[in-house]
Amino acid sequence: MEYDKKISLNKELQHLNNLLEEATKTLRELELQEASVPRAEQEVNFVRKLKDQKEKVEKIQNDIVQKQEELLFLDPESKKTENSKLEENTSKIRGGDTDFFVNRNRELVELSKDTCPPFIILRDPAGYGKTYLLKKLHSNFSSIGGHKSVYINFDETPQARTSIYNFLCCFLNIVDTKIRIPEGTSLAWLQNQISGNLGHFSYKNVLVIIDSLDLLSNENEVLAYIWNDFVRTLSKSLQGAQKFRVIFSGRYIESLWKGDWKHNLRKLQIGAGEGLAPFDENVVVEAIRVICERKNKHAVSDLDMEIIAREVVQVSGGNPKCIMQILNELDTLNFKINLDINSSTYYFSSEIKRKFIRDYIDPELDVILRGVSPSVREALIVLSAFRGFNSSTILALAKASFIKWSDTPSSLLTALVSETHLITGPNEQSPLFSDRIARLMLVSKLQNDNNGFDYNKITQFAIDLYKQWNAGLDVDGSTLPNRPSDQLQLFLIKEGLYHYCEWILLRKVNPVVALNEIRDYLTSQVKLLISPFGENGISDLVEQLKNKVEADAQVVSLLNKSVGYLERDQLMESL
Amino acid sequence: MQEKTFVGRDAEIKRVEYAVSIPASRRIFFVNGEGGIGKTRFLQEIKSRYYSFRQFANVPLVVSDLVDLANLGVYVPLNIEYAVCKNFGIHNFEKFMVARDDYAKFQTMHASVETLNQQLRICYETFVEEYNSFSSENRCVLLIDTVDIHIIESDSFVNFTQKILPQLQNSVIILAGRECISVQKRLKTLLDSDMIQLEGLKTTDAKSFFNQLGLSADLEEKLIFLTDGRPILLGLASAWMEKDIPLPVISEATLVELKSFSNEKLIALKEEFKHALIENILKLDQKDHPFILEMAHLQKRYTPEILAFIHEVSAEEAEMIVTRLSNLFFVKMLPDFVHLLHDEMRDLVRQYLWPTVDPFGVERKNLSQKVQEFYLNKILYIDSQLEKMIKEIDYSREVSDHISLLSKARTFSDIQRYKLVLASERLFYLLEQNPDQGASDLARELEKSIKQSTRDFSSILVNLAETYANKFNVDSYYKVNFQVARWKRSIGEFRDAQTILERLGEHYADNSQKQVSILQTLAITQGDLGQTRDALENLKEALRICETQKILGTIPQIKSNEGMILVSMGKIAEGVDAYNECILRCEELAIDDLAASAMNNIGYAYSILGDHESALSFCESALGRRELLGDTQAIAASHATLGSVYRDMSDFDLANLHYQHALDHFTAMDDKFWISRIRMERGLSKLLEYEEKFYRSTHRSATTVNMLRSLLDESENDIKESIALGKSYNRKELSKAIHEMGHVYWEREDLNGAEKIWKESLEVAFETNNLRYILENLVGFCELDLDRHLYSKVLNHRNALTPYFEETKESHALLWSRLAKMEGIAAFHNGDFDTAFQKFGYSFPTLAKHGGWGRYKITIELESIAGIIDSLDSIEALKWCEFLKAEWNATTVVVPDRYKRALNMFISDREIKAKRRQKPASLN
Repeated sequence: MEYDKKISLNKELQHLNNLLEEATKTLRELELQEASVPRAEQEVNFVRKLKDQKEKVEKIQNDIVQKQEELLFLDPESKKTENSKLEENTSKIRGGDTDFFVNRNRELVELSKDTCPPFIILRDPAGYGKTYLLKKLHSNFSSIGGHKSVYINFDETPQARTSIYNFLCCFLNIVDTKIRIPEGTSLAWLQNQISGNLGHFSYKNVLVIIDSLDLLSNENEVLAYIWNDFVRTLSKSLQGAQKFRVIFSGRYIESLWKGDWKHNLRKLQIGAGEGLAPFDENVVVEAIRVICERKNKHAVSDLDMEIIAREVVQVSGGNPKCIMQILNELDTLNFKINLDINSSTYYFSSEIKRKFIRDYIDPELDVILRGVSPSVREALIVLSAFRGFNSSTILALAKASFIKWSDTPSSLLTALVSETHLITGPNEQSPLFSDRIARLMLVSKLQNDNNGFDYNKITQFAIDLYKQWNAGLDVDGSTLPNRPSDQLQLFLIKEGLYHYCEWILLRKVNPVVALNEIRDYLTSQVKLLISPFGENGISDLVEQLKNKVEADAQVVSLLNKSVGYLERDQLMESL
Repeated sequence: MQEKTFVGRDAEIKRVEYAVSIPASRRIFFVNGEGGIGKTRFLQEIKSRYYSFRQFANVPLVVSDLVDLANLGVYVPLNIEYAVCKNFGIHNFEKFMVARDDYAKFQTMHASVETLNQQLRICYETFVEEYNSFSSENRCVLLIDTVDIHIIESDSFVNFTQKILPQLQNSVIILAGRECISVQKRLKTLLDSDMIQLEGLKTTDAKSFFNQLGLSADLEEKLIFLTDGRPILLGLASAWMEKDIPLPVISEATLVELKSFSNEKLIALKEEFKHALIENILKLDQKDHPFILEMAHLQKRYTPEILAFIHEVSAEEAEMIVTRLSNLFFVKMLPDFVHLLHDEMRDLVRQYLWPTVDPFGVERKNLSQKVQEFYLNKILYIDSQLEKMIKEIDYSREVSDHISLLSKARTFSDIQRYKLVLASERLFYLLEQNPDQGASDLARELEKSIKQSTRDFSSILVNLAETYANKFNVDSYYKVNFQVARWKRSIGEFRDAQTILERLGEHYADNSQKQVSILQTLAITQGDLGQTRDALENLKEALRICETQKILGTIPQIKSNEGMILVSMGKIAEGVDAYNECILRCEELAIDDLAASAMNNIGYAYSILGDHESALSFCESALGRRELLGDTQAIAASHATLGSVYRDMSDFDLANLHYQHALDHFTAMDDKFWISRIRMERGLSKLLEYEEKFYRSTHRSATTVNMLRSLLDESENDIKESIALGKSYNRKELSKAIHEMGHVYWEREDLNGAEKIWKESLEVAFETNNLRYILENLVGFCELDLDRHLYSKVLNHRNALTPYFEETKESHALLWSRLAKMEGIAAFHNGDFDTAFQKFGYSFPTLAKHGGWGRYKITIELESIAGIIDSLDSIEALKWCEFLKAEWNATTVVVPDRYKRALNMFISDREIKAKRRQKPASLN
């Protein structure tokens, strides 16, 4: 009887899910239409249709929940605790369907290099594509002879989270798929088996990947075990292999890490940046192409692909998961929607950008910024306009009322670092703080909220601020207690240039005017350079500045957009 | 980051333990070593080893807490001693505490420098006495920390180490700090001491820092090598190992490879390592990060109250945070909940961390401003508390509750001292943030405290001035150092003041305005030192600059100073000229107060010259002006001068009236300096009145005798009171007051009493460097001997004066001429007529020229040799009259006409008398 009920419930659920898919699709189409047409011009009928559709979706969702509960009631074994439900939800958000992406080549190369340190941590927030990257690395590695790769993901093997014993069993099963683990075996036996297997002389290269470590709570015994004994076991057994590498992955894991092995850990370093880089337009174009080709249904021209890619990257801040979701939505619409009624191109209207932000960026940011207090979050949004910031930036922004923070700037910095995990401490090359993907997502939000009014104001403020600092002055015109050194001046000019380009793009200034403005800006700022070697040192500094600008991909890209590729060259020469 | 247990240092500990174990001995150790080597930890270890002892070889053993000198308060005189007292129990130092209370009281009453110095001496003596009394029953271990560059030159520390330390008995005293070597060197001749040189920990000891971290032996050794075994860095490294990732080079290079690095590379690596240690330990994601940064910046005081003010959090929360911070091994706790970063840690944070967090220094500037705001609020609050306390003290005084009065007064002065420390800390942050703005405040505060003679505060200020000297711009450097020179002068350190001023003079040779101020102050200082000729030269130069550079506003002051110096040199007439010029310039520039003061001084000068009419007229004008200006203090001073002029005119009633006027004013103001001065002048006036009335009255009725007696009693009373006050408030003129008392005794015909008193006066004169009364007393002895007919003794005393002749022949010409006269009399009685009359020939014109300091009468002087000439037979008398007439007429000394007449009349009187003696028969 129960069995029959279960089958029928499952069937009903299947049906409801199909209905939900259809209804959601229709609702998205309607919402996109709504976003592209000013409210005043929308017909009454349309508004009603939209409302009805929303209600329909909600009803189906409720039905699904109800059926699921019935099913759970029938099957106590599949009844899950509240906690695990939460974990399930989390994992849904965590793992994006990133299957078709062909990116992260640089990271792959970096992780495969011989010079790569033996213990690596990947600590980026959710949605940055850690799991995809690691799985790709795992499969690449496994395919090479004499290479052994072990991949364990706490998200996929929840059982491994429950006890050290279970963890070791799961791990051993992955290491040796054929092994039969006798009942009541000891931890030592399991450890020995693992060591013996991984330490086998036939392996020239061993890779161990432990993914989704952040799913283990701070008090979890498995976590403490991994931090201490397990890394030691691995380290010992892997000493025989010519090359070995252990990768730990999970959000902010270094802040959880308590073991004494911590000093052996290295963060993944790509170029000057730390952690995973945002997706750029090229990647998105590729993604669009894959979608179009795979389903063989959309015909989008190369130019349009580029336009869409640029818009998607801009609005998503390069967050892989958000990009995926936006592309999925565009896919369901067959890329056919007229995104801007005033244009025949694929430029996104501000309404649609806001919709994407509401639907994809905001929820993702909510996850990334979970646990961040509101005041810190507000400050973070404003600070995201800057590629980096320090206590002086905070002070200046607070004075100009962009940031509401009454305590000392250092305490805000500390709060930002410890609460958001998105900011890394200062170093000598860049005495400022930075994060990339999250920053770009916040920038996207800032640019689109309030019609970008705030972003515009902050950008202008930033230009003035860097000009003042370069001149050795504070925002209020008083002399800075410590005049910036020559190297810091170069840095300030470059940052000022970044904001200047942003401002030019915000104002949609034509390239000829833009060229003059930027030239004026740079000339005036270069005049303020002070070299410890006097006049002779200045030309050397200008040369350094040119190199620094050229090496800064973001600034170069902005310059290209504002004045054009050839003119950029000319501009730098004119210095 | 908990404190690691103490490791190593066995040999050093044993040395201290051995010293402690030798009964009744005094041993001083200096603990030297670079920052972070563990000096403080060493002292703490000594402390903890003996803390539980209580007894050592059957003798009670007492060990102090660490007396930390890392506080601006240690610049305040007596504060180091006070800290020691607190450690060994205030109740054991009650006499010292009372003396210290008095010292504080003297400051609030603006007592003179001499009084303060004297009181300080008493404090030091009682401290040593009570310390040794305590240590005679207890073996003492005294621990002093942070003997640092900022403290070793300060007066309070120099005094403690050079004067106090060598006297302390039955103690082991350990001083630790970065500057121990230089201090030990300086004390070499005064004090035997041992040096404990702390080096980096040995590898075996250092390893305990990494216990339970499971590091490989190689890594441990590399860390020890790179930290040079310095405990603070080892502590950081071990904490770091628990937290983060080391520099790649450390994990990748072997110890052997590291050791083979070139010296240069190794230094760079060690620097880099230190930088990484500090940066990683204090990572931004540590919640205490901002507080540690703040502690490094707010290096004088970090308390829950300050934290609460800066972060606007509740007192409870602030206290919680500070308690948490105090668990960090590099945070030290001082009394009054003051928390400071360990010196080396502070330096590391300042050097490496702040520049990356706050590259432009804006946050630090803000922090400095904020903490200054805190200090200002706090000082305001303390002021209001102090005001309340004054009322309570007054009440206790009213109801004669002496016990409560004492304790309240003590608390009051403690709070006041605390306030001064806070005020100087505020100034410190201002100086750090903006040296030049700080310099302005510093100069202003210094000027104020010179005026109010608040020695405690100015001691700190002067130390701050010295610390920041090389950070000031040209203008600030001048501003501050000029005040420092003035301060040195005000506390009687004339030579130091002179050195500073001369240095300033060279620095600012091309700045006329500054040059003029420097030259003027230098001249006054030289006046103090008796270098009157140089003083005049400098004033002349100042005047020249003013005239060529058209700095007209300053000329009157220069002239006034010139007048003052000239009068002090005895060049009264020239002094009058200078004052007149001053008045003229003042009139042009409408500088009324200075003009009035010059008039008053001219009045006094004329009075000295005996021109009482002019004296009165000037004094009256001065008084009139001052009354218009409404300056009550100046009015009262004018009355005092008028009193002296009337006294010189022998109009004693009017003199008394004016003195009373002045006295009433200063009594109301409770200005004990002036009270002492005026009562001395009035006492002198009564004495002169007595003398005059006594010598004039040939028939003395009982009433006259009573009247005369009561005059002498009144004079004695006044002078007695003046002396009593002068001991505390006017030591500069004390020898004068005592000297005048001698005259009272003389008038009572108690010559021995007078001699005894003049001896006392002479001592004070030597102590206060009062040249005039050194001479006056020595001359006084001559007079006494003359009176006793002990003529050879007169000449002995004269010889004692010879060394002073060159220096004082001009400034004290009157005294020298009086002395010459006495020599003459003595020579006469010894039968040496030639010398006698030669001396008379020289002395009288100069006596006439230099007047008699107001009321000195040439006729009375002449009277003293009239008898001598009259006692000769007529031929001899006429011969010597002829001689004197020729000498007196030929003299190059410019004698005022009226005195010339007096001299001539004297000779003709003597001649008439001689001739009468020659022809006694013809009359019949």
